[in-house]
Amino acid sequence: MNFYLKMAWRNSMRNKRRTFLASLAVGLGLAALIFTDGLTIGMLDGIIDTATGTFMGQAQIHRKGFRDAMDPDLVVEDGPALLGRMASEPLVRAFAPRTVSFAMIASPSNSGSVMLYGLDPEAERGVSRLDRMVKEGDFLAGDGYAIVIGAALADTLEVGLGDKVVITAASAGGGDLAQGMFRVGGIMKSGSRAMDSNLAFVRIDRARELFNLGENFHELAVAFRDVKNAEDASLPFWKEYGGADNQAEGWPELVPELAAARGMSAFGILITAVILSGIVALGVTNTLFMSLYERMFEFGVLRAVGTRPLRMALIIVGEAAVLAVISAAAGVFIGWLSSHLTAVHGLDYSGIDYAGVTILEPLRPRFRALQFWLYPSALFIFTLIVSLYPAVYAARMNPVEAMRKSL
Amino acid sequence: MEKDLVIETRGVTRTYVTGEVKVHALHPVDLAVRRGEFTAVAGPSGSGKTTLLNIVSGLDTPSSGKVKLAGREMSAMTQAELSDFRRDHIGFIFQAYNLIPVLTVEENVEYIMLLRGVPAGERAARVKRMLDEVGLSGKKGRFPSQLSGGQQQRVAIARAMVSEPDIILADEPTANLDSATGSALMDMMRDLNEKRGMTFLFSTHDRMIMEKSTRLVTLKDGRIDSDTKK
Repeated sequence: MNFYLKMAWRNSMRNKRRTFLASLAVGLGLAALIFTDGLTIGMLDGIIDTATGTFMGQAQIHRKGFRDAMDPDLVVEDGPALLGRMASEPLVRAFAPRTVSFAMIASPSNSGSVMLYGLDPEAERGVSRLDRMVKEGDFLAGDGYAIVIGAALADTLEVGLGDKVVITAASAGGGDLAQGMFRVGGIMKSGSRAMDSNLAFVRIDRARELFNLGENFHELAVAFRDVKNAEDASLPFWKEYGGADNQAEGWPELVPELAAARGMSAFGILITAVILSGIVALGVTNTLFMSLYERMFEFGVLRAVGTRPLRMALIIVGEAAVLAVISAAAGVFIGWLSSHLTAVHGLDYSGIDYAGVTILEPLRPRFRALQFWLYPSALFIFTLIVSLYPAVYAARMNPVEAMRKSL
Repeated sequence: MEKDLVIETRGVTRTYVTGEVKVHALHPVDLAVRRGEFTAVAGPSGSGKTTLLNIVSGLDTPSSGKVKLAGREMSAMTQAELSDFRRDHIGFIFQAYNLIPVLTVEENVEYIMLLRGVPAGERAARVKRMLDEVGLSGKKGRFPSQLSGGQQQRVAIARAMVSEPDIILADEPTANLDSATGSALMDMMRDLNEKRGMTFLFSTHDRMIMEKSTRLVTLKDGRIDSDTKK
């Protein structure tokens, strides 16, 4: 081992308790950063997964203007041909066409407004988890007269499985009202009050027939093979499937609040890092100065026998490097352990809304490589920078002052 | 300057100023030490002997006057140059606790040669030879805390001498030792002085050192009171 590194290591081990406590303090700062980063990323990824995987899909294609007007005539342009093209699109894992209508739903006891979706249950399994949320009955498995509604809506309508409800909505091609009777075939409990109160699902062929849509549809939900594609605005996919009349959008455009929350979280992590850096700076400076003051005579001797000022500074920086390595190791271990344990058990915030999305699954910290190389490296470099203050002090030390009692 | 002069001070003074109080630690002092001398600078506490050694070694700067060591004027040197100069020309022995506690006996002796960039093989050979001379070859792997006071000072002597400097400055080297150990240590240094012609300058108020030295300079109130060669 290099002579000076050996010296730095032994000096650090002279007062093991102090080195241990200082490393623990600095390491806890790093661990807190790793944990915060992991939890934030895990939370956002979880929420994005909930938002995209529950029902929305990672991307959607609509006719331009449909999302604002909800006009039943604004069907996806060249819808049937688009389905064929999408089937051979290599980026896409699954897709599902949907009809979307504002509708009135009425039972013998009550009535209410809903967003009625016409779905293809088989295709839908590839882009959403609606089928897993059906707690009673089944997910549109019966005939074309089955309807799935949320548990809260079922309570409002005072209906249960097998009960009849009537749907009324505007049909395409003139806006006449269409009415159809359905039997409750499934009751859904998603955990989201909004979904359980306001959504209803029927088979797409029945919806097309009822609303005079032919082979058309209003929405195409898409799931990519790589979820990151949904955030990649530079993909040709968006222009290719958007075209002149249609509009293809990823989840960041569909739920802009969520994209904004991700940006804010990065800023939050930066603020956390700055605060923790301050703690690290104070901890390291304090430790090095304590060690330096304790060994004034020794530093005086080193200067007296011919150690140059720069070498004196490097001795201090070397000790800071040892402290940083021990701290980084401690921080990485504690950060990994706390994140791992939290990931195993999860933090249950289900039912709470965040950035317009209801949290449905327990939050779990998510590991990413930079937590284990970038943050410890930054800690190491930052510790070396902070150590320059005591290092310069040591370099400028007057040997006579330092050894007051000797030469 | 004569060729065999190792130290030459001319009109060296040192005044410490604390607030409005001025303390004249050294009045003009002229001192010349020749190669191979075994000189003791003696005097009571406050007589200026430590200040004189600090100035001679370049650890402190005089208020006025000139200091030459090994033919070089020291007042014109920068801190880095002074460090190099001390490393190359001066060996230091301090009262106590002057070894680096985290280095072994061998590493303490090796340290100055490391600073000088001496190759590893040569360092090892010189360390071995020096430790043999001071009788500590069996303890080269020990740390200072595992040695007695006398053994620690012998390591300090080995460290001071290993790079064969022009002069060894020793500040009360026996102050923390019992008289028998101190006397044995002085005999060892005298022996090295005779065998190698190494120049020694001690500051002391130990009568035994004064008796064993070949030249005795006494200081009183910052002035040379007497200068006797034996």
